[in-house]
Amino acid sequence: MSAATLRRLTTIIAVVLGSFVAAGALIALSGANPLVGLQGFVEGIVASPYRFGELLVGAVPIGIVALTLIPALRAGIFSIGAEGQVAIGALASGAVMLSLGDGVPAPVHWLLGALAGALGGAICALLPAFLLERWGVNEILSTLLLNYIAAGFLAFSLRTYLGTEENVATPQSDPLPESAELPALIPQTRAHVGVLLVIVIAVAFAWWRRTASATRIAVFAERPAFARRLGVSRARTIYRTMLVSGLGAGLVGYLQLAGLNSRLYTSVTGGVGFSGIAVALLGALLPAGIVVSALLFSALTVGAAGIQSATGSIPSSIADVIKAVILLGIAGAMGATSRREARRAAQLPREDPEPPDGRPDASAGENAAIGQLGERGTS
Amino acid sequence: MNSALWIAIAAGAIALATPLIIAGLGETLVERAGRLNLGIEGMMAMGAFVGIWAASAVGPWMGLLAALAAGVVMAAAMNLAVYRFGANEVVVGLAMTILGLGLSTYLYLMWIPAGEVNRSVETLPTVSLGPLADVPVLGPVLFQHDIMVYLLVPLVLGFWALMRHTTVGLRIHAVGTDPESARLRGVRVERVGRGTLLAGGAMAGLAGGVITAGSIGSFTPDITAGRGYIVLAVVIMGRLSPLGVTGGSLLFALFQSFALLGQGLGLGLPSEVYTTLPYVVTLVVLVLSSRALVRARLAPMRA
Amino acid sequence: MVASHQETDHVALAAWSVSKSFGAVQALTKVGIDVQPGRVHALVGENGAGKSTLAKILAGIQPADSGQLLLNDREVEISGRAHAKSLGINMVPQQLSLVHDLSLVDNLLLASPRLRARRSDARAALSRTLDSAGVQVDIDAPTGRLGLAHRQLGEIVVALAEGARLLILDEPTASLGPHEVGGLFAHLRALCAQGTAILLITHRVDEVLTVADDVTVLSHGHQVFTGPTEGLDANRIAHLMVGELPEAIARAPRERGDAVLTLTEVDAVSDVDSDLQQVSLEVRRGEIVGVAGVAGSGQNLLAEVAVGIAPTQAGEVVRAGSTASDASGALAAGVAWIPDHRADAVVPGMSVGENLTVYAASVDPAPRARVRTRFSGRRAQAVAAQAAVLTEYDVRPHDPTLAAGNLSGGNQQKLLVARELDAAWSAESPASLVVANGPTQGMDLRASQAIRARLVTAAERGAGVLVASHDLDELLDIADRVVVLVGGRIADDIPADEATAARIGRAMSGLARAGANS
Repeated sequence: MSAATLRRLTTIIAVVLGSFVAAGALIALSGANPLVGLQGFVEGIVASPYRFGELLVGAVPIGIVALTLIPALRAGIFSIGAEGQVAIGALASGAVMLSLGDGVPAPVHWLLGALAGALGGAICALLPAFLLERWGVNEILSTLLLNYIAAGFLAFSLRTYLGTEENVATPQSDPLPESAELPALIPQTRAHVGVLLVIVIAVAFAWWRRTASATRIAVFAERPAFARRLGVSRARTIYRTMLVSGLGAGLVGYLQLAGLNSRLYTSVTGGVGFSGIAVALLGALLPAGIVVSALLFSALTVGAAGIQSATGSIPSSIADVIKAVILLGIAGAMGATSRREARRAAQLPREDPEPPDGRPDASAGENAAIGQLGERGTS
Repeated sequence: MNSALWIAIAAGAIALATPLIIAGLGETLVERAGRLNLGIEGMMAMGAFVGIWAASAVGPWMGLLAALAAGVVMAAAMNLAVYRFGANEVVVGLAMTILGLGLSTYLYLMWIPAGEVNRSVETLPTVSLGPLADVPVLGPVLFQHDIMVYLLVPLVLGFWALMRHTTVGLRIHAVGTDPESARLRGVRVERVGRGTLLAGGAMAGLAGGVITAGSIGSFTPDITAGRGYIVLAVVIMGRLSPLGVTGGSLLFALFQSFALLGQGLGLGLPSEVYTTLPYVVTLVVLVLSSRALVRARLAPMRA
Repeated sequence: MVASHQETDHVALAAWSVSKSFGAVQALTKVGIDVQPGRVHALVGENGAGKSTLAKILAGIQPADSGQLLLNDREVEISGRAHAKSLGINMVPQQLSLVHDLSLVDNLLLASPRLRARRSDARAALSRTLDSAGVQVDIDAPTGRLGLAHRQLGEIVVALAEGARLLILDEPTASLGPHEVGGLFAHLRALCAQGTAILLITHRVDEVLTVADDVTVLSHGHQVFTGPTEGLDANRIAHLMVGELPEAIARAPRERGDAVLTLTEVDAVSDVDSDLQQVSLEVRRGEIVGVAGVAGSGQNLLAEVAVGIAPTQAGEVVRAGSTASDASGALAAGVAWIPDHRADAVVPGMSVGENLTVYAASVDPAPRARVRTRFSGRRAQAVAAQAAVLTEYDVRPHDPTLAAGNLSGGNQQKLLVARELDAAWSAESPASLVVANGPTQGMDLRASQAIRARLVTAAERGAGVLVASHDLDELLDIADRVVVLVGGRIADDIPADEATAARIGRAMSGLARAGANS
């Protein structure tokens, strides 16, 4: 492990600990005992195999969404449409599995369900890609608006053609065929095969990072004109990277449906799309970083329920506060690191006292890729 | 046709547009200066809670002031992270949204624990503008609102004049389009950036306060319901101009108002069509305006 | 803010014994200068000699560590840029400081302390200045739409309207063509006649002799000469600047090989440059073809067509036997590219080493044979080999792990040259065609000479070289023939033994015989 990696790790651990201290202070200010809160947090995660399974299962959707967002974010395309893509993915796979019915063997259900989910998400991602490529429609905004439209379409479907005929309060589908449900991977938990899938996808992206395609996308993000010399076309980059994120989010829709819920509800996305983006950024677009961040976010969600029941007064939304503080802390620490590097560069001996060209905080590697996002803003 | 319903829809649109316009004016400055506040949603949520909380103690006007202050504090934190530590502003904005939504919910539940009855407070008074309010159709649509709605007129004109006729507006424009040259011409780029974000935060916080302390009179978690994001869309749609933002907000709000009330028209459409329509229309307008922009840009410069 | 032109307004600025250091680097050591009203004072030296540092001290942008400034013979402390402006001292930076989206009027208002933007006042002030300086520039158009020469003049006009009586111009001619330079100098002389003092920073010796009354030469932060230009010649000034002159490039006859670039009746369109019309051109292995033309005559477009960045409307382009029409096809055919904006081809967020190896790292295996990295092996070895290349090309600091965006502009240019002429290609198959557009723009004498020598070496190794430049001396120095573009057509094609600055200049202004290339 190099000194730089070590320093990075220490910073990250310091930020996480710091946010816990801040959360403790918030709990104390709210009139509860922070130590009881901490105990509740830990127990919320490890009290039973089921709780621990919840940690894993919660990390799956945000992990997959975040991992498959790597190419798009690396290219400087800031899609926040995962939420809608998850919804459409779940809808498509639900429709397929329900229409296949009980008579079909489980593997066929798994395969076709997953395929339908991924395709649904992909279609939902290609529309904003087309709008961006063709007319320069800002992808942040188009994907955002499509999230609402997708949610409306899901609700409509569950109230009409996909809705159950049972008398229920909220729109929902009939239960999935039993053979369609994903079996638990670990007994006594809800942890399903998605847990393994995260690892597979993470390894795949770790490999991809070293390919020519990843370098081309990194060049495209910073110097689109120069990227043409490397054979990069803007259109192809937009379509491909958005397609990958759509496939991933659609697959997540399938996993949430077949792995966790026996019926399709309007709440199937549960905010995993937005969390996925935060996790991708928190993990600095590095596969390993994303897996760790996804586990951290999931642990906070699961543990916060423990805090709430242990203290009896602290709302579980404290999890969101901690997540935000960690995200802020890491963003600040990464920014400070690249500034330090720029300053180090400026102090290296050179004869001409010309200042560096370009932005002072430009820096190599992942930080720069993220730094890139802000610059485009809403051009 | 049911004209009373249409009047109610139009009047409702103006009320619904108010927070969008307020936050949109602030974000216009921010984006003119070449920055992006992705934290609007969180700032509005905090403004909404702080507004109602302060209003319950000291009345609606102080509530709005407190909401504004909440937005400023969050914007100052964002400035600190971006300028002092060099953090990426998109990431920080996202974090601010998560923070604002989470913290407002947390504080609300500490104030009114789950299971207890929500608190309602007195809102801004509705002012009927004398004889104008009695004009048929226009009266109820335009002249029977709370004071904040009337204050929009000077506010929008003020922002328009600021951008068009002051050196501050010129500086903001210069920093947004050509920061390097602006710096060489003696403009303090960082100060302009910090200042616009503070203004944007103030307006976002105020907008949140207007939703609760201004018109509804109570808070519920996630009361902003994505309106902070809609503000971003409306700002782009309105091409970063105060008048355009006002128009865009009114358009979105009109369809939203139609969604709330129009189901009574008996058009036989599924309810999801009504709720989704504002977003569809916004997307269509966004596409049309982007397309026009691209074409305008390509016309003199085919590169 | 309005300049009136009375004798009492005159500003004379002198500096005595000024020193300045940045960290361990001593940028200026006890330097003096005396800028007088009605005179053009040239400040010359290599990059890093301290010219810009001295100028920034005079303009109030940086404080000196020690030394004193005298304004009209009275000692003065300049506390900042705004203070300098109020004293009538204004600097036009090299990269120009007009905000592209704003008109000259709005640019003038930008620094105004008033809240209200009084456009009519500003317009009146600018018109008065335009009249008295005898300049015509559109003051209501966004400055980004003005041509480079007009932007340069606009910059000066805004400075004058802000009340400048002493103008510091930092390399104002760096990107102007010879005609535009002549026009600018005429305006400078006219301003001097009205009593304006001008400090002209340049590294071009010929400009000193053309326009300056006095000259101060800096070398490594020391003042090595100051005095009137009368009686000085080019060699003497150059010698003062760089000590021993870099060796002149030897013109050895080179073997001509097959054509590596053939353009046949090519048409191409651009909105920032003249459209190319019926351009036919051939570059052979071992040949250096220069491209001259007034700015905007199509040389940028020609270079982009040659490397496949710009599409063609008609005609045929063959590079090293390949008709692949896109830029990546050209790369695979071994085409090196030095664009006129180095920022276009250096990736600031990647490390210097990654920039050197970006082709090998980003091109899929099939065409990679040609752009195979020479930095294989263990990481430490690769880094050492990259550092060696950086040292060879004088890229400072020579640390391959540094982000390229942290390098200064000149060093980014050297990095670009190192990659395109060297690091990008495997040793067995070097670049087949080198397309260089203004490869020495903004570089000092020594660095420019080094880059020219590299281009010659590339030709000796068998590459065809197409080099466009505003610096005619550069073309005369290395080109085997010079094609002259006028309005997107080839107006003349002059072999080296017939090429003179006068002949090329005549052709550039459209006076050459037509159809010379047929």
